[in-house]
Amino acid sequence: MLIARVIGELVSSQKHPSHEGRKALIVQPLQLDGSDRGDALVALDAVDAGVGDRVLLVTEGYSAMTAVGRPESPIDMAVIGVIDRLDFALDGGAVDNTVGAGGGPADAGLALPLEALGGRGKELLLPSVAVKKKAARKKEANE
Amino acid sequence: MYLGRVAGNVWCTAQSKGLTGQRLLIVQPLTPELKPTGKQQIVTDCTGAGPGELVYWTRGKEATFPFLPSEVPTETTIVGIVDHLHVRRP
Repeated sequence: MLIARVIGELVSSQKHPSHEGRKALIVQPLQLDGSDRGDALVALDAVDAGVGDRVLLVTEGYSAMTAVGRPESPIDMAVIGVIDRLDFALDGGAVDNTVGAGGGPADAGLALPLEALGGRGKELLLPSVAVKKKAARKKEANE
Repeated sequence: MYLGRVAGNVWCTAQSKGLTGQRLLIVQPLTPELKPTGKQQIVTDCTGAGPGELVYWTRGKEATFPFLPSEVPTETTIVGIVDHLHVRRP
């Protein structure tokens, strides 16, 4: 599965019958940092995604056909989810909660602002870090 | 699926039985901005596309499904002719 951005729609009247009644979207696969990853692709829509959405993309036949609900049809890519938010750790250390959101100001609303968590955002996002910090604080208090 | 432009035809006299009656086309993959990208492919066709047309094609086992129940030994097939593209990059 890939993370991708819907960048357009494709209109086709002469096509395989199994593609009828489903939107064909043009999707640009993305890196975690929001930059483009290879060329844009055509995928059928299984979740009613639209232009501008950041989505989950499958690029294998069986999963794509299953998601679209058309078995044994020539479908090899499908949009199977709309991504609300991404959390991930870079180099096993700091959590970067803004980069994965697409990197654009238009996406700022998608990411959970760390400030909103009173500066505890990183702890809340990575439980293991939170536990370690709590242990460190306890140790400090004891000393 | 991938975007492409039909660039030509291929004819084979000696060919696998499964390919009998199949039209073979050359497709140049394109970006949504219609710039060529990657290598040209030989594809089968289930839509009646011809040279010069903008199409989208599929790859893998799925490429054989339009021809069921006959089993065509293909790995790339044109599955749609593109009328319009609306592309708006962020």
